[in-house]
Amino acid sequence: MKKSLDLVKHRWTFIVISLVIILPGVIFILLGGLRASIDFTGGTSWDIYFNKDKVPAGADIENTLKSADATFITQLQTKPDKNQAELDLLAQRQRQAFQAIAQQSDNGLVVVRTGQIFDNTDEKTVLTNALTQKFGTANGFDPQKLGLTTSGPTVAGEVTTRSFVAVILASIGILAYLAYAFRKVKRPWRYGLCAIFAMVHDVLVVLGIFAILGYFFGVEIDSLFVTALLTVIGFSVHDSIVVFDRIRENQIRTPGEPFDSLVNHSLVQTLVRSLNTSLTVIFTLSALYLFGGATVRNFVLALLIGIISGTYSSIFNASMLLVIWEKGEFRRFFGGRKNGPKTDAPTRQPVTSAR
Amino acid sequence: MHRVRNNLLALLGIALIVAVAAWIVFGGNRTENILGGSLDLSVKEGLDLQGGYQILLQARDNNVTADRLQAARQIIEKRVNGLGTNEPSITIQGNNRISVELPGVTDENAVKKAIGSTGRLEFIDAGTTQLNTGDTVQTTYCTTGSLYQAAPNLCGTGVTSSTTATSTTSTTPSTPSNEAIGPGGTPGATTPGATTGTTPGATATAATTPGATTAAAGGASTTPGASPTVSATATPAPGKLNASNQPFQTVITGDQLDPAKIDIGFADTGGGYKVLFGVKADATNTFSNFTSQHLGQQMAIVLDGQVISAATIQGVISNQGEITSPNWQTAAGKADAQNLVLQLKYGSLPVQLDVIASRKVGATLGTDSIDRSLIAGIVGLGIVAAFMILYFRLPGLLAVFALVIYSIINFALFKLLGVVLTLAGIAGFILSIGMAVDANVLIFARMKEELRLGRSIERAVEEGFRNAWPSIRDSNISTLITCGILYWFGDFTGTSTIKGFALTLAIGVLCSMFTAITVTHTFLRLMFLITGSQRHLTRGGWWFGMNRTRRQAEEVQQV
Repeated sequence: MKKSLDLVKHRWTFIVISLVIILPGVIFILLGGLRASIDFTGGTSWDIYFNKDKVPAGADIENTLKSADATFITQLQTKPDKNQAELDLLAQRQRQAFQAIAQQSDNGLVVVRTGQIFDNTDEKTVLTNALTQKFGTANGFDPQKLGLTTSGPTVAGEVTTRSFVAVILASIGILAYLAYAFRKVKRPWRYGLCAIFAMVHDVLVVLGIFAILGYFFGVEIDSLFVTALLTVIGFSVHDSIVVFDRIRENQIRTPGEPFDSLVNHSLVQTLVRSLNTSLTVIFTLSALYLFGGATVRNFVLALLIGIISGTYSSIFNASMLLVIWEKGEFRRFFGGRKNGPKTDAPTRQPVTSAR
Repeated sequence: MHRVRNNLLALLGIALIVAVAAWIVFGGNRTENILGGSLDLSVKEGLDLQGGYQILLQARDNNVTADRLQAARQIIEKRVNGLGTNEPSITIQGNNRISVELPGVTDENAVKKAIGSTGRLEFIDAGTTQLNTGDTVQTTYCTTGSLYQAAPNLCGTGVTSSTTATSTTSTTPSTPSNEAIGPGGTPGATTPGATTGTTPGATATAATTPGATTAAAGGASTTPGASPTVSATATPAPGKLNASNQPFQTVITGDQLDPAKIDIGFADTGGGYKVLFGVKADATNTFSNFTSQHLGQQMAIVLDGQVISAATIQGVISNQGEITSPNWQTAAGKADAQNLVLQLKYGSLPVQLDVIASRKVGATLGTDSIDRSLIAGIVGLGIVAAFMILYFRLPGLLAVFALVIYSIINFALFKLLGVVLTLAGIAGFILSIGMAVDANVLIFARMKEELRLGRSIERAVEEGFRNAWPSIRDSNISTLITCGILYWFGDFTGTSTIKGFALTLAIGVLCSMFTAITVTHTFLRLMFLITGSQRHLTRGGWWFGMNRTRRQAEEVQQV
């Protein structure tokens, strides 16, 4: 048997590469690089479009909004009949001063994050008018193009909780399905868990890169980002499944083959396919990133990063972990047993056909 | 021969499906009448594509009943319908939230009016003016805050009871009260004191409708909505005025109704329904004074300046009254009556609603986004097609055909199922184009393997499909699981964005199973039929992406 490409031999190298990629991201996550958008924190986000060549300074926009809001609040305090929303607004502004942080995007878009605007009051109108006055003719501000998203504290809190629950549910759902699909193979849960490991890898890569982007460029993560994460989770497993499926098949075809060689075989056989399918998705996503609208750009970026990472992890992590586990190398690695891996007991013998 | 027929049948089926899909997609936005039902074939654009307003409201009271929330929803819906938006969607979410989506509406004031808690319910003295449901009127409560104080001079007495009209709802006191309505024949002839008809069943009154003068018991009459003819007075823009060109006198407001006593009941005869209402103790005098002085005249119930019911006063009402209508005999009539009950009960919003999230999208942004997504879609499709053809050659070309078919069927499904297209949804669709070829890539890769093993091309094709199936199935199911969770996540956040993405992705996955497997398979098989013999193709490995030199090299590797 002529030696073909031996990927499994380098399994620890691949794992280390992954760790090296993940580590900086994790550091920036710990440094607080992940910037939660108003979807999670509550507040209002303004999508303000200016003339492409006449985008005003961020501070200018911030100050315009702040001073207009201050004036509005002062006037509101003297208003005789205040409705509930107006009372709520006053109470809120008492608790917390009105903040505004502008963030330049491209194509004349500036995203400004402010304290929560109250819908049932005139606040929105007053602030929009202030913007029109200041930037209307000078910078091409058009109130017709203004986009506003407000998220109250209740919704924000729940979106946060739901995001976590969704990610956990997705993991459990997929783990369960994998265990079912691979039920005829020995120890099906291992396949599921290895796929989950690969998935966690991808989630960490995406989170890490967004933490870095957030730290340096103020990029925020929102509920669309969570959507991208969930999609990445699905994709990641998608890729792992193709490799696992081949392992399952080869186990039946060539009983008696050592597990690492079996996995290597399966990997090499599916390598081109894995790269190909990922490539097609990467092509379409790149097109979307380059030509699609500005509002979904970060969403597409998260998908793109996740899918590239997913391709890597399914080939170089999920199956490698399977081998490492199968060979009991974890125990050796963590020093659980001084005398190295258990001598290959029958349990670790090549898995025979399940059928 | 058998196989030839099967393949041709499959091709015919595919052609048929594609034809139907193309007919759906390329006919523009329209509604078709098919088999007696109407089919809406328009693209539904989400808020971020056409601009608009979206608000998530939450009841301040956590223990709000479903009934009250439903009432609030209906009231908001009524108000919103006045805004002239294309397809407002007002839905209840969970047990204490209402989501309001107003595509195309960006006017803040209009929105404030729609969701504000200022609903104002009034009973007004219409005098001789015949009002119809939906009429906009000016009222004294609205203009000056004046309420009827039982003082005759305040509410223009001396109007004769000439209800010319056809459509009225008669208001009669209900059940055992000290007053009752007269047995009366003609409208206006009812007199107080005509006595005692303490039993509900006995209170027959005249129907005011010309056609239906039958006097159903319990106060017959008619309903809202009919004759638009009558409105005697000139109508200045903000709303109708009464006969003397004054705002209509407000008798009582919704605050003075006793919500516990508002209910739907069975009409005393005729099998229809009636609406019962009660007046709070502090207003009973006002109400009985008014009704006694205006018997036979018109009284209308107005919500936010809009008439929701116009009736002829058939008797004196102090604390309990009822409204009947001959139109409330049917099931649809029951719904109308129930609607009125809700409006009476909760004239103003029955619950204090807080805006907990909102979203406003500029109207002009949408077209730009659609154009950009379209370019992205075409470029993406182009690159994928080029890749498939260059890498897999002949099967790749067939896969590209399948991909075009996929796009058409997919878009047809969007139209058929009424999927709301959002920017994220379009992203999901474009993403699924990349995924749709995934199955083909798997199959073709397997085919190549079989060819390398020296199988005939035809055999390799069949084996390729068979071997690739488990992977395709498993990976698609895992994506569908994610889609389900995404949908749940998006459904909760109350935005159509995430839901749209989940839905388009799921439809894409399901649809791609059909095109990538059935369609490509049929195409490939048919190709063998056309080329006649498989031997002819066996030497044509190049067409299947096999480079001889590489094949040889790989063969060495494989063994």
